[in-house]
Amino acid sequence: MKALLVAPVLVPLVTLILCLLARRQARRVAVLSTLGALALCAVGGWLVAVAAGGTVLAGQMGGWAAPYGISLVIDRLSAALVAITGVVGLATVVYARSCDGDAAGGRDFHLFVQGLLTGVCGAFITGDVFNLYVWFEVLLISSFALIVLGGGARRVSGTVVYLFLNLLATLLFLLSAALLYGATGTLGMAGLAEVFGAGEATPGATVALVLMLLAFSIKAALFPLFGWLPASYHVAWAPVSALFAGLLTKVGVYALIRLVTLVWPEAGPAHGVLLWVACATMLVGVLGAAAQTEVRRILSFHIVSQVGYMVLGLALATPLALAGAVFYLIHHIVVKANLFFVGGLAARMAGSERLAAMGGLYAHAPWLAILFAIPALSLAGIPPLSGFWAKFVLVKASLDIGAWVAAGVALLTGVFTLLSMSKIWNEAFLKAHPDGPQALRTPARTRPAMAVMAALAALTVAIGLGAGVVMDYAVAAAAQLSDPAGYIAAVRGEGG
Amino acid sequence: MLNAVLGIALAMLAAPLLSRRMDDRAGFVLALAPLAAFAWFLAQVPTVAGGGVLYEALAWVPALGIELAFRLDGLSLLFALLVSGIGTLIVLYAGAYLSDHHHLGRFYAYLLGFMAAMLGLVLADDLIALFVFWELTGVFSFLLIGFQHEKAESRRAALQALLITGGGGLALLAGLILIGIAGDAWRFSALDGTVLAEHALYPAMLALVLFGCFTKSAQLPFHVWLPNAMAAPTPVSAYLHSATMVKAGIYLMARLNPVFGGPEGWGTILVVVGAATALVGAVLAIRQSDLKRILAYTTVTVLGQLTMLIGTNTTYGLQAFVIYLLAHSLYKGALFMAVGAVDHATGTRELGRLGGLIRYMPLTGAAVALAAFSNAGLPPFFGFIAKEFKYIGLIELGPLGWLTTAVMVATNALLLAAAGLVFLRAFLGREGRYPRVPHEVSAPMWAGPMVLALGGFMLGAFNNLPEIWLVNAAVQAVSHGPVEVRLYLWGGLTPALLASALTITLGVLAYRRRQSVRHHLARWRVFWQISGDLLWDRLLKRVFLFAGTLAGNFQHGSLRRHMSLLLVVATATGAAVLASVGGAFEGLGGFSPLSVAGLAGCALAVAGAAGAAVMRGRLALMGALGLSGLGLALFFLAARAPDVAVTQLMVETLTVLFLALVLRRLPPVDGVGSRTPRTRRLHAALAAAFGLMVAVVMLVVLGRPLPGDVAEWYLANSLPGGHGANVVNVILVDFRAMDTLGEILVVVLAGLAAAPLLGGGRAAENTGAGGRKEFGSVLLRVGVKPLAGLLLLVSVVLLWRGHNLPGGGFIGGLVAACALVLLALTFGVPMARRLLRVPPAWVAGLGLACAAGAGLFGLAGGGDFLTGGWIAPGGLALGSPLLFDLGVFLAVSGAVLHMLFRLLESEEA
Amino acid sequence: MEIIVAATVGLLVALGVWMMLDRNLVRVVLGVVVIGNAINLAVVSVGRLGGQAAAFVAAGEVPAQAANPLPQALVLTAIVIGFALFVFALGVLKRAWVEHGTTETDRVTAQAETPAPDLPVDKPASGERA
Repeated sequence: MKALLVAPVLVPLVTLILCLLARRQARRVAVLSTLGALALCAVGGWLVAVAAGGTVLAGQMGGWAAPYGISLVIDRLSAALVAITGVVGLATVVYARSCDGDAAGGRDFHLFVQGLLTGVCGAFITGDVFNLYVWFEVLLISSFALIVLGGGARRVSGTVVYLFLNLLATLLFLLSAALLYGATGTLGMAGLAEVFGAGEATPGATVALVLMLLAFSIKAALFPLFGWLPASYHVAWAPVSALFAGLLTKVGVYALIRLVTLVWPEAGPAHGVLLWVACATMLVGVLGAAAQTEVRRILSFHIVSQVGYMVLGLALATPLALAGAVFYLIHHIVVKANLFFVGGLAARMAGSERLAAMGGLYAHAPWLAILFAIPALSLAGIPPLSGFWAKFVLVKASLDIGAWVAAGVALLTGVFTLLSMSKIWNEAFLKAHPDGPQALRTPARTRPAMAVMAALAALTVAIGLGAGVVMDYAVAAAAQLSDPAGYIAAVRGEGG
Repeated sequence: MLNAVLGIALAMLAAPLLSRRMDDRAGFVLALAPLAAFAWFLAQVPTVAGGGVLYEALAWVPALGIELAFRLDGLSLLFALLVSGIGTLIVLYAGAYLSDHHHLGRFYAYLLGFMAAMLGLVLADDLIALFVFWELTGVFSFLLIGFQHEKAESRRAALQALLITGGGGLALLAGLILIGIAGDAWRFSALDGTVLAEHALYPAMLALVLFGCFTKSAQLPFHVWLPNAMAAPTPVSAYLHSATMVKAGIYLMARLNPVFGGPEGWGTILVVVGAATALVGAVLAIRQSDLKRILAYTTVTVLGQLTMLIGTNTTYGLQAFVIYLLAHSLYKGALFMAVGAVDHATGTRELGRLGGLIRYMPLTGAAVALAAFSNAGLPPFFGFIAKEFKYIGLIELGPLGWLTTAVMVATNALLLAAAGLVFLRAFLGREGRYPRVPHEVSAPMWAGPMVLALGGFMLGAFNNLPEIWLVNAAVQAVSHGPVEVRLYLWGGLTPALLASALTITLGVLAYRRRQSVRHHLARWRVFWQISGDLLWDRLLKRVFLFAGTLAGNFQHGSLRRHMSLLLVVATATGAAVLASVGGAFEGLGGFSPLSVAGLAGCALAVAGAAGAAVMRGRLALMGALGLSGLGLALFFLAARAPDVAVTQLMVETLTVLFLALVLRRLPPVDGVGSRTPRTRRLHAALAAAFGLMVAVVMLVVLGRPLPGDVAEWYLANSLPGGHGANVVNVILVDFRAMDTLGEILVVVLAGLAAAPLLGGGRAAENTGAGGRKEFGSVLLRVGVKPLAGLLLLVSVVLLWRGHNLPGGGFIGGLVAACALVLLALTFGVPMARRLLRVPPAWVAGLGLACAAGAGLFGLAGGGDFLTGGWIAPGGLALGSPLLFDLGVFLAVSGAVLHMLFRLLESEEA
Repeated sequence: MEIIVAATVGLLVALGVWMMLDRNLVRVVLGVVVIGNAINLAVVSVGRLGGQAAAFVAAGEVPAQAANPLPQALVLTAIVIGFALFVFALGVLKRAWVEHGTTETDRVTAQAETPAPDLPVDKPASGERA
């Protein structure tokens, strides 16, 4: 169990070290990376099985009791996220094999992907605020390396925007983490929950906490701080975009959920602010998407819009709403990564990412059309796919407590999302290619990519049809989140 | 029931494969699925007619209380028979109509998928299950309308349909959720009308559900999508957009009528909207010249009339509803299929070019005749009974009823004229000008219309059969209270009969005088300008324009604008929280006394930073930055943090070194701030505000004593637990080693990431030949080697003693890196690489492995990760934290060397 | 002393932010360093600056009024991480100069908003790698 607790970080780390030592042999690195991602999936699955039974895995690193040592805590939410991270990581690594002819994939691609996975998993399982900062840095530097992979003027340009805005956010995080220690005397999340729960939080602690939440909001791409995302995601190499889309903002959302549910389990002024922010994020994101004319730009804005949904679940603060947020997190990672994968392949087939220069894919590649339709419909919330259940729960949770505006915004955003997706469908798939059908290419080695997209689509359908199982898990996870005492007890129990 | 749905769904999945194998005959095989379903439903007729209701349920999402629940009562049985029966005919028809289309398999798949969804919709008892099927029908309709996707108008029509019905669908969802919340149940069969009516949200429920139904069933003002959906192939129009999908809204309204039908609001809204829709539809129908569009608009009319009839909630009104529903599905399906046959055979649908077809297509013509008579409401067709009962039902309503009846008479007259157009004009009379020589179509194509049209006749002539077996049960299911059902052709000389007679007369008149009717209508030009389609285009354009403006605010491509926004938000948030949280500024105190060294350090730091902010020369910038770092190191010393101070100094040195190497290849830094003074002032204000906020927040935090005992615990346990006297080092490699592990990972990753950017190419790495030496001075070259050796020794000593005295892995690693860099600068990178033997990246990897391995010791010993294990050979404390520190050493030195070597190589290349 | 430190941090942050808003990318990178320095200063001072002795427990005796070792450890981590990020930023700066031929911030970042270029025809699978 102690090994399982630290496995989410250890597995990608060991993979990274092995890849680093074998750096010169590209093929070996690719194989190692795939095996490592597979192992991470297995670890994630095991964790989900353990967590589904209600156990909260917790441990102290170095054997030092909290708050002196660093705690790791894996509850249902963390376990599910680790599992999905493994799946997306594996998907990216396998998909990249389809893009081998592309000069962008330098040999260090796998290294940085494993680094990103380490940081993401570390962030999901840590129970210490400064440790969270460190894992954020790990995933940040990996993402910096990945986004600039392959070079080129456009890529460097996007990297500059991404780099400096995220640096500011991370500096803000560091400052607020230190201030939080200075105001509460502890860096552990359980300790913070105790301090805030007992009403002993000084004004300084509250300010520091809010600044930290602000840093998370930047990372999660909430309104009005999401500008960095549509400015940078679309310039990266295709598998990198997909990996980012699936994981990066979700870490910010997770951090928000974790911290807010620990320190403010009851609805308060912060939740009111979050509610408005969530509504604004949903609307602005989807309207921004409606104005775009390139596939990945559309999808980037959609990430922003969907993050709004997740934070809506957090802001409503009822157990049902939290269950909706958890369900949405799980469903969205899969769907978004898949859409980016499909978009990348579609662009390669049609020779461009601009919708005006694309077309004819429905006739040329019907399988691709199906593999686009499934995640697209899921994103738009069409039943019985996973997205519908996620949206349904959030709308119901809003209506339950009388948040009419939120419910209306959520539904309106759904209509616009449908509009966006059908725009891509019409322009890229249905309409004829402007240069004639002979302009459509079939790239070599599309099998890995197709396999990945099909697997993710199948997962989306499975989550939708088997929504009973997943919803049970989400509801139980939300119950865990709504009760900080359980978290604190798990940390204390291990620490003795 | 679930099996029926699943069976058709299976057929959907098999369709493309079968089609590829069997070409045309696949249709016969695939039609077996709906036929089987039809047969099964037919077998249930006796049970249901006797008043029985069948239920089936499958748990779907127990956490939310949602089940896949089905219910077979009179209404759903009627619809199920229609869906499966007409569906069978359509599958056969489509096979013949699209026989040479290369995507026929996909068409079958979409059609069967739609069929399964529609069947699920009418059978569903669970509110959310119904919604699932509702949306699925919309999706399949989208795919079917856009089937001929090369045409832009097909795509546009499909999108329009999807968005209108999808938008309505979402409103429906909200309404259904509200019903579920208010009624505390997710089943139609468990809903109680009185409970709902008393709920505060009753109007909202009503509005939302009706919104959904109106969009789906093309009521005013959402009717625009239906005529445009005629861009779909005719089988689709015949099935979806006349017989089934558009009736989904009608179905839901009928299903909810028992629940909502009590209070007045429901009935009135339905009657008004329905009547208006019917009128508009009829008027628009007359203006068309395309056969399909005539039929489309008449469908709109009928949908309006059906809506109206539900709203009447009278005995005859509800009977009329059921009868009319049945009659319309039969004759409309037949007419559409026949029109498709005409199109297929002659190549045109324009009324102007058709005529005298009966000679060429007698069977189709016969079917059309029968259907048209039913459409016109002539006895003894089923349509006649429908019209009669409709009039009786409306008249029963009272004054509103008389007004509506008058409107309906006019509407039906126009409908009659339209029916006349379709049959008389196209089939009888002068021969038209056809693009192709017409011929009778193949059996599947005339069999469908014939079957349906004959059905319309039989049901009317032998009207006690449908009364007993179908209509009775259906009406009971729709009504708010019990209703007596009795069908008859002749009821005596009633006002309804007079109304029917009037209708027929007016209709014939309108047909005869159709040119002048059209002429009169065309005069209302003002009215025609407000075309729903035009409004739709304008609406979409406005939305996209607004979206564009909004997006433009965030896509300006300016990093500085992004940052300014971020800073504004951060400052505002900080200020807002400070203001709103009570007592932030009270009781601040307990500050430590001033320290001169610390003050000096701060001053230097600020001076250096200010210099970096305003100076222009690259050398000056580096110097200022270095000064700032020095000031910081001084402060750290004053704050009693020697390890931190040394690390800061080392890092500062390296920073300046890197800066020097990179900046000298860059152009000079001219200009400070922005170009315009206004922007400069704005930025200065932003910076000042943000800085002020940070300073204030710091004061608020520092002004109170530090809670907790963490520091004391570390100091107390460092030696006994951590076996080290340097508490900071013990924290880094033992107490909080996880942080350090992540940190060296960051360093290594940063080194790997930055190296190609700084170095630009691996070509340089491979050249083993000697590179250009940096410094040619002989004295330097003689002196550097021992200096480097000394530094290396110092670094190892620092590593070793770090656990108890100032030093540690970081500092040691940085010093070691400096040593090798010195060598590289003097003698060239290849020499340094040879000295190192292994690539620096490898050293870094080894460092990571050591650190991780040190952590694994603890796991192996049954404890947690990174638990320290100590042995004491000969009084010397050796433990895994020391191995960890070694890992830090190697990782840091490896990463820094990796970067620097690449950077220096790029200079040489 | 904390007041001085808070003021220093505020000033440094303001200067650093000013530099990050500069129109030359070089100064932006330097601004990152300055802000990083400021935050490091803040982190150390969070442990309160009343300590008179460095955090060393030689011979098992905890010195009276020892400085708080935790923020020192945190800031050590932060300094090293900050350096790593700075070096990367420097690399990006150099790359921007090489690719764009300018270090003007706005001109560099505007490139990402240009329409996507058409994709070249795929090279064969055994193509060269960077």
